[in-house]
Amino acid sequence: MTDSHGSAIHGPTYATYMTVFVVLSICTIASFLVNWILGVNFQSASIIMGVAFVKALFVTLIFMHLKYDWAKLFFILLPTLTLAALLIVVLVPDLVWAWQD
Amino acid sequence: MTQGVHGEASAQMGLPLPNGKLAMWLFLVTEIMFFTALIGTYVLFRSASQSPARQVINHGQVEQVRDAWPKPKDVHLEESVGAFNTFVLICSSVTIVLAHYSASNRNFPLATKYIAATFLLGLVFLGVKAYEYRAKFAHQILPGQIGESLPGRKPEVDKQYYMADLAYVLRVKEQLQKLTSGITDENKGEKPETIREAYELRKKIESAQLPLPQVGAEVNHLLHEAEKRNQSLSLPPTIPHGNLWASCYFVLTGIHAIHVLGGVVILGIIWLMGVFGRLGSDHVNMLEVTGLYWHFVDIVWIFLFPLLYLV
Repeated sequence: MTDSHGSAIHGPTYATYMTVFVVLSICTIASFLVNWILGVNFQSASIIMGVAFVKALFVTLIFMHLKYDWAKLFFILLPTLTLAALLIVVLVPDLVWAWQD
Repeated sequence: MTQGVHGEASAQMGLPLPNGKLAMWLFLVTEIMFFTALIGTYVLFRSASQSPARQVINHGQVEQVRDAWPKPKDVHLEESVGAFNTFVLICSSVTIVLAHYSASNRNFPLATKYIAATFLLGLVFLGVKAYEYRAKFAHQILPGQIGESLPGRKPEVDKQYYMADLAYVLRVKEQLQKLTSGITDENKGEKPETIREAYELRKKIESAQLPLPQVGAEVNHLLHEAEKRNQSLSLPPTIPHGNLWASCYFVLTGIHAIHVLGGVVILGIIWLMGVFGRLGSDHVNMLEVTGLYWHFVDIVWIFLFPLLYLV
């Protein structure tokens, strides 16, 4: 990662990137296996979505350099992430069971 | 950045970020809201879909069932294909970040190779998506085409679905008439078993022997038997919540695929720049910004894959 003057700035190394790649690959395989072994139920869904969240975190923090740029970007991201979470919460009351009996 | 006078703190205008990077993050923030709305709506539709109860006979016992949201096998979705596509996008995320890393270290030929790899992996993803879409089209799993009703519901509930069921039965009748044109009771014995069964179903529909929901069950049986015999037969299946599933699937994956396509176009342009030796120190920030967009596309798929294929 460089600044506009062209000097190298600290950031993830090649080894870090490859380690994250291995972790992401293992997480993907794990999600697939959990679905294959446990089937579709609340337990497997929780594990799989949890793994997805961890994968997204790795990509965001390391690949997108947010670990290093958080102090410069949090003011944009925090309101967005809050609104995104609130949007889900706001939709929850609309989970109406359409009883047809 | 202004030069500070000795002894005084230097003033600094704006954020210590390249303009392009800030702009890309601002754009990504809007994309986060966009995809949150889409995925939130999918979760809402899925959780709120409750089928009317049906009576079915299971091993001689009468059971009350409520049809669940379609499972991947109901809609010809293969988890392994989705997992492969996830792996492809993860690899492409690695290659784009290594492209930026190489460019930061002034190794532009290597950066060009990594950009090429990312571009090709993006094309692989789109190719696999096209293969999956083709399977959906072949099985007529499309919004508005799928039957919703199976037998066993109360008559007053069947009445509510009457118009939708009628439209489905008319569509099935039309397709069966094309499929079995020229077949008569005299020559049906010469035809493959699947075509004979399709002909029998067509006669039952034309003579209005079957209640509308029963047609869906018969079509599903016909499709199932054809699959067992490895014979191809294209009729719209009956899958409760199938139309809503298809709408959600095509909107979510289609919009994501459009984003991937946009990224692939940009990567293609950057690759050409590298091939013609136009990639230099001035483009390191551009590579980082492109990488940010590509990683976001990857993150969206990281959530879409389990939501659509696994859970």
